[in-house]
Amino acid sequence: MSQNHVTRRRLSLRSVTTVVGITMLAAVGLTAASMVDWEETIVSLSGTTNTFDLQVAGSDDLSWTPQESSWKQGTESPEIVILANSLISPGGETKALVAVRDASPRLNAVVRLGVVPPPEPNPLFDALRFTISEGSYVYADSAPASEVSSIPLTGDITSMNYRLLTVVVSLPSDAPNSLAGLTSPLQLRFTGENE
Amino acid sequence: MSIQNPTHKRSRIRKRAFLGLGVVVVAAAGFTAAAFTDFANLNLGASGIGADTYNIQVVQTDPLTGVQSPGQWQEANTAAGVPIQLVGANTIYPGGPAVSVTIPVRNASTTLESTMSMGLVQLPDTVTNITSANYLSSLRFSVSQPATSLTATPISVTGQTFAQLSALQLNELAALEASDVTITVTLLDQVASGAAYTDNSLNGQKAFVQASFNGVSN
Repeated sequence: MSQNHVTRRRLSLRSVTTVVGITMLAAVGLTAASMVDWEETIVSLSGTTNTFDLQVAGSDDLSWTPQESSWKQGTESPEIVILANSLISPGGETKALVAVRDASPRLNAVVRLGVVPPPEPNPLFDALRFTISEGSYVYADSAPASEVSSIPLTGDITSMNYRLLTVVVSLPSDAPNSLAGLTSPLQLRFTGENE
Repeated sequence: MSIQNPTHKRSRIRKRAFLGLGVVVVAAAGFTAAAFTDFANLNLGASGIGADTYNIQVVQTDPLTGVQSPGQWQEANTAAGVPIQLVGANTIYPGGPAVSVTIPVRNASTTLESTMSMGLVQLPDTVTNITSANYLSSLRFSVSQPATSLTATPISVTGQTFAQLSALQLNELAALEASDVTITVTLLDQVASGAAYTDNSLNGQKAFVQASFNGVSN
């Protein structure tokens, strides 16, 4: 009798062990199934044509139109537009054409143009007036720099297309003599966001 | 079959769950793309924009004697002005010979052209330098200037009173161009001036006059 009880108890232990073993295998199987499905969803994500990029170009030749070689990033270092006439006197002005291109492969852009204040305060910069136009549309007419810090361009720029603007920088005829001989850096900044 | 069906059903549920997650991730990526930004800077002028320098100068003179130093220039842009020697001015007498001085002026601007005018200004009296109104009214001035690169006709005016020479238009000067302006002074006698005061009343009298050159950039 006592041997029979021992035998039944061993059988009971085997049964318990078998049940535990099956449960653990099921858990491993479940984990393996999760990893396979996750990899399949990752592969479907690609942003290689989803880049957004603005480029700039400019010239003081008023008959100029940008060529492919004209475009520069202007991000790490600014594109420099050489001006044959960079000295202006009271009542005088200097003109330049500036262009911005949406170089994104497929994203359109909403772009703003602004005149960037110089790092150091400068009375000449404060006295300058800016007229900014695009074709017959005038964004600003003899406005001080404070009023042209962020001008939204009309409409979007579609992918790989550009906009050409005319910038006239002038010095009022009543500018004081104290400005004579002063110079000021003058930077334009195009900022954009994809549409 | 009855055992496999629940397993397949659970698998489909998991796949739908993961596919659903995939859609969420893609949508999130699309939302991030809408915030892509960029900027590009463009500088006008390699060294920026400059306000042109405009400057007119007269010949350098000794601050005490007024003797000229030809070829050297000074600003003379203070109200007090600078002295310039007028040889013979201390010996001038009614009806006597004229005395004159030639004053080199130049447009020292590197790019700007300049108009030019000259006017006579009476200096304020001091304790020692007092202008006689009669003496001043008997003075007559002549001014001449040769043609310049911008104005072909020489300037020549004669017999002008002090009051008449408040703003005489001179010939324009190109950038860095110099020109000589000659001022000749005579003291009229009573016959010539028709004055009520006698010639002798002018004895020892003086007039302190400044020639002021003014320009405007073109």
